[in-house]
Amino acid sequence: MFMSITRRYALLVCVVAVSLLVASGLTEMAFSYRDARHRIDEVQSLQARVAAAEIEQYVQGIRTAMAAVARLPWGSAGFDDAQRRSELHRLLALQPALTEAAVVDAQGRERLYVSRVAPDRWRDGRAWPLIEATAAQWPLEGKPGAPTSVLGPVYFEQGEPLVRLQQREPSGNGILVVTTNLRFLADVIARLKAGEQGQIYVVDGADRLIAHPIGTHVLRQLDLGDREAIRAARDELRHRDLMRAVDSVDLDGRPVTSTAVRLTLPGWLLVIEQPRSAVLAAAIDTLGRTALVVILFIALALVSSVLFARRMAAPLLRLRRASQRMSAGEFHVRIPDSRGDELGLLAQDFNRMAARLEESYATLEARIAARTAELAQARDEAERASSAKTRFLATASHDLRQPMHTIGLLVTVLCRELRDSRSLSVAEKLQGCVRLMETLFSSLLDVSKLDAGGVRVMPETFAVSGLLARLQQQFEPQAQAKGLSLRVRTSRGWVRADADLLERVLGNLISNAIQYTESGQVLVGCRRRGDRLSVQVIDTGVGIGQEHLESIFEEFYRIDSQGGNRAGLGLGLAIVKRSLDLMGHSLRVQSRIGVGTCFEILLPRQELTSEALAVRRDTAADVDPVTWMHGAFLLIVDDNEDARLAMESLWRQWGGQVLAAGGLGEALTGLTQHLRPPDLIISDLRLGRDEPDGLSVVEAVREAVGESTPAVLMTAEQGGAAIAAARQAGLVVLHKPVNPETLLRTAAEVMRVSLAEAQPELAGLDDGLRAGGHVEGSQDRGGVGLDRARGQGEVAADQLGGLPLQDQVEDLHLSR
Amino acid sequence: MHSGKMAHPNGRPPDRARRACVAVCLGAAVAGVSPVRPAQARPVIYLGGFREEDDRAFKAFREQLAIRHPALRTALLHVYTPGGDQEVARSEVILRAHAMGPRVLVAPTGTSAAAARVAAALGTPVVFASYLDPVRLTRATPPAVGRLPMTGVSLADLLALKRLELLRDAVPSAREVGVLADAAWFRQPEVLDPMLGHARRLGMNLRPIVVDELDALSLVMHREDVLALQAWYVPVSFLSYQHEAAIIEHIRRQRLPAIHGTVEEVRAGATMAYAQDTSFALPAMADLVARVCAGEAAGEIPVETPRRFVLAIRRDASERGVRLPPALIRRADLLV
Repeated sequence: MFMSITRRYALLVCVVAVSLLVASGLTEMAFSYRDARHRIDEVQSLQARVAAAEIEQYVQGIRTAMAAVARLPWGSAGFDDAQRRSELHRLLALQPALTEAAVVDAQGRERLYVSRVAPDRWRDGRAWPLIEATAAQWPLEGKPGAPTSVLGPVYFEQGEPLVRLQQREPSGNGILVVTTNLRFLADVIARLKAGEQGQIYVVDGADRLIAHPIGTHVLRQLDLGDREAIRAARDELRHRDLMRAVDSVDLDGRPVTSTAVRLTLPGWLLVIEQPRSAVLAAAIDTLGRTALVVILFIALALVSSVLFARRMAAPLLRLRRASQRMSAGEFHVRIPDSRGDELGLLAQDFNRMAARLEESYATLEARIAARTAELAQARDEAERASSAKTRFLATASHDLRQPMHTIGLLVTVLCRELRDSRSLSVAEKLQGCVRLMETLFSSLLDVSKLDAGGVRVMPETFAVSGLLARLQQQFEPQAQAKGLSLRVRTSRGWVRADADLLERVLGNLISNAIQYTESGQVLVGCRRRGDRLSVQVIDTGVGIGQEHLESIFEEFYRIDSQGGNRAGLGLGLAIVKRSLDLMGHSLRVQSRIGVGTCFEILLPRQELTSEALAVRRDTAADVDPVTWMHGAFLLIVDDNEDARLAMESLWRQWGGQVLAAGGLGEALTGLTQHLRPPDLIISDLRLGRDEPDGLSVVEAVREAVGESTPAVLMTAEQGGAAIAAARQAGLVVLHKPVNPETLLRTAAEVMRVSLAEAQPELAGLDDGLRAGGHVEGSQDRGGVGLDRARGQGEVAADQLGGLPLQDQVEDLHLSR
Repeated sequence: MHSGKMAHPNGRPPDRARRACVAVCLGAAVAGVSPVRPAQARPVIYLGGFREEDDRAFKAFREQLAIRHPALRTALLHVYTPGGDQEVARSEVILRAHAMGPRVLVAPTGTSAAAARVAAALGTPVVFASYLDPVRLTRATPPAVGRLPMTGVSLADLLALKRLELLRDAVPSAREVGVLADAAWFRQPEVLDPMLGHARRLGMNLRPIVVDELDALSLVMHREDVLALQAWYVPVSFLSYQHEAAIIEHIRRQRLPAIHGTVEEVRAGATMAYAQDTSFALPAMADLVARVCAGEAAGEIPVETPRRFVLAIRRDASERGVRLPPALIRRADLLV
C-alpha cells in the first residue's frame, strides 16, 4: 500500500511523540493517584485520631465528673444520702448523656438510685419514703481489686445503646455506677469534621454500631462485623495504631473510603467513611488536569509532527517531482541545493546526474537521428528491392507466362498437324518439355508468391468427397500411364479449410507419390480423428529415409537415392509445407525405405449444416469436351498475335469455328460478318493500351449480340482489380500459361453450364457450374491450371481408417 | 385528648411546636382537602389538624423539609384531617389520601397517626409523631400480621412520676396536691393510676381538679377545697394548652408551688416544669420522610424517642411566694 513519505514521517513522529506523552501522562497520573491515596490515608487517619480524642475526652469528662462526686467524704457529717442524691442529680444535670446513677456496695446492692425518668430510690431517715428494704442488685464489672474506674460492656435497652461506668469511692463506702446513653456520642461525632460528606461512627468490641449521626441506625442494633472496613480495621489495628484507607460501601450502599482507629475504650473502633468521589475529587481533578495537559501536548505533537514531516519530506518531494519531470524528458530540471546537509548533497548529486543525462541525451538524440536516417535509407533500399522483386514477379508472371502460354498452344497445334511419325515424336517430346517447364516455372512462382505473402487464405466449409473425386480424375491418367493404381477412399465428412489451397496441396502430394512409385498403387484415404479429419496420401514407392524427413520440405531439396532423373526442382513439398502452415493445418509424414510413404494432413472436421449444404459440391456428370466443342462458334480476342493464331489453330483442330480478333472493334466488326452469335468468348484480360480490357469486351459483345454469351478470360497477372471485377461478373478466369486440355475442358464446362441455365432439363449440369466457379477461384492462388474433370465417384476411404501405415501399404500390395 | 409535642426546628424551646401538636390533636372539625400546590405524581401528604393557612406545625415541618431535603419540598401536600371525635370523617380523609398514591403519609399527631394505620395496613408508608405507645401503634391488628409500614417519633409522656418527685423535692411539706386537667386527661387510667400510687409513696394526696372551660376554671379556683391545696400538678392537656395564661395566673395568685409539663409554661410565668426535649422531632420526621421516599422500608426504621429532659425553674419563684430549695435549683437545666 502506497503511503506518502510525508504521511509516513508524520505518523512515525506522531506515534513516538504520542507514545511518550501518553506514557509520561499515565506515569504522572499513576504517581498522582498514589500520592492522593497516601494523602487520603494521612488525612483520614488524622481526622480519625482527632475524632477518637474527642470521644475519649467526652467519656473522660464523664469519668472525671464521677470521680469528683465519688471523692466527696460520703458518710461523714453533712454528706448523707440526701446530699449524695442531690449531688448525683447535679451530676446528671452536668452530663446529659447520663440517664441514671446509683451507689451500690461492694456486692452490688443498691443504696441510692437517681434517674431522669424513673422515680429515685434512696433511704431517708426523715419523712422521705424508704425505697425497698431489699435493694436492687447491680452487676459490677471487675473484681473488688479492679481499677478505680471501669467501663462495662455496651448493652441495649428499649433500643437505646447504654453503657455503665463504675467508680470506686475512695472512702470505700460504695461504688458509683452511672448509665450512659451512647446516642449522645452522636452529638460529639456530629460536630466532628470528616470531610464534606463524610461520616464518623463507633462500634463496640462486638462490632455493634453504638454511635452514628443517624440515630435510627444505632436503634437498629446493627452488627457491622461483616463489613470490609471493620474487618480490615480489626486485622490491621491488631499490630498497629493506624490503618490504611480501604475502599468499601457505607450503610446505604454508597462507595466510600474508610479508615478506622482504635479507641482506648475496650474494643471500640472509630470509623471514618467518606464518599469515594469526594475523597478522590482532588485526585480526579489532578488526573483530569494531567489528562488535559497530555491531550494538549498530543495536539501540539500532532501539529508539530505534521509540520516536521512536511519539512523533512519537502526536499525528497522536490527530488521526486524533479525525477518525474526528468522521466518525462525534461532533463533541464534542477533542484535548489541551499541546504547544508545530506539532502543538499543529494540535491547536488541529482543536479549533476541530470546535467550528465541531459548531455548524454543530447548526444543520444544525435546518434538516434543519424541511425534513424541510416535505417530510413536501408528501409528505402529494402522497399526498392521489394518493388524490384514485385516488378520481377509481375514481369515473370505476365511477360514470361505469355510466351510460355503461346508456346504450349503452338506445340499442341503442331502435334496435331504433324503426320510424320518421326516429326511427331520430336514434337511430342517438345510438348513434354514444355509442360515440364510450365510446371517448374509455376512452382518457382508459387514459392515466390508464398514467401512474399501474396497468398490469401479463404476458408470455407465443403465436402471432402468432391475434392478427392476431382483429384482422382485429375491424376488417374498420370497413374495409369505409369502402370499404377490410384485408389481414392473418400469420406462423407465435411471440413473447414481453403479448398483450393488444399486441393493443390493434395495434388502435389499425389503427384509426388505417382512420381516416386514405380509399382503398386497410390491410395488417398480419409479417417476421423476426434474432431478432425485425417487425409492421407499413401504410396508403395521407394520411401524416404528418416534422415531426410525433416529436409524434404526445404526448397530445392532432392534425395539423390530416389533417382536423379526425376523431373522437378524440389519445390513441391516446400509449397505443401508453406501452404499448410499458412492454413494452420498440421502435416505428418511417415516413411520406410522400400515400403512406401504416408503423408497425413489433419483438417478441422465440420458438422453438416444447411449453409454447408448450400455450397455442397457434387460430382458433375462426365463431360466429353471435344464433343461439346465440335461445331461451336468461338470468339477469341487477344492482342498477342502469336497467341491468337495458336488459339485459333487449336480450336479449329478441336472442330470449332473461330473468329479471332486483336481487340473489341475487330471483334465486333468480325461478328457482323457472321450469321450466328458466338457460343463462347475467350479473351485475354489485357488487350493493349488503347483497347478496353477483356471484361469490357465480353460485356460489349454480349450487348452487341443481345445474348448472355458464356466467356472465359485468360491473364498472365497474379491478381488485381480487373480479375476481381471479372469474377464479380461471374466470368471464369484462367491464368497463363494455360494447358490446352485445361482450356478445352473449361470451355466445355462453361458452355454446358450456360446451356443448362437456358435449358433446365439439363439441370444435372448445374452442379458442374458450381464446381466450375470453385475451381476458377483456386486458380487465382496458384496460377496453376487445374483440370476440371470430375472423378468417377467417391470411394469410402474411411474403410482404411484405423490401420497403421504398414498395414495399409501391405493391403495395397495385396490388392494389386 | 392531649397530644405529643412538636419541636422547633432550630432547637429553640419547643413551645410553638407543642402548641401546634396540641392544636392538631384537638383540631377544628372541618373536613376537606387543601393542596399545597397542584397535585404531583406520588406526593408526600401531610395530614394536618388545621387548615393549611392556620397550620403552624405544617409550616414548621415544611420549613424543615425544605432545609434538609429540598428535593421533597415540592412534593409536599397538605391534607386537612379532622380531629376530635370525627373519626368517620377522618377515616374518609385518610382513605382519600391513600387513593392519591402518596409516597408517604405524614401524621404529626397521635390522632392522625392512629387514623393513618388504615392506610399503612393498605401499604402506604406512614411517618408519625405521636404520644401513643409506638409498639402498639405500629403493630398490625388481625387479620393482618407483622409490623405496619410505620415509623416516626414517639413523644409519649414518661415523666409524670418524676414530676411528682420534683414537686416533692421542691415543697417537701406539701401533702395536698391538686391535679388540674380536663376530663379527657383524667380518662387515662394508665397515666393516672401510677401517679396515685407514687404520690402515696411520696406522702402526697392528689386531688383531681377537672376543668373543661375557662369560666369553670375561675369558679373552681375559688372553691374552698381548692384553696386548701398546698401545691399544683398541671399535666399536658388541652386545658393547659388552651388556658395556659389563666391557669398560671390563678396559681400565681394563690402563691402555691406548681409543676407543669412544658417549658413554655415556665416562660409564661409558671414556677417550674419538667419536660422532654422534642426539638428533634420535626428534623427527625423530615429525615424519616426522605429515607422512606428513597426506598427504605418504613417498618424497618426504629421509632425515635426523646433523649433529653429539661427541668425549667422560674428565677423569680421566691418573689411569687414560692421558696424552692437550692439543691433543686442547682439541678435545673433551664432557669427562666
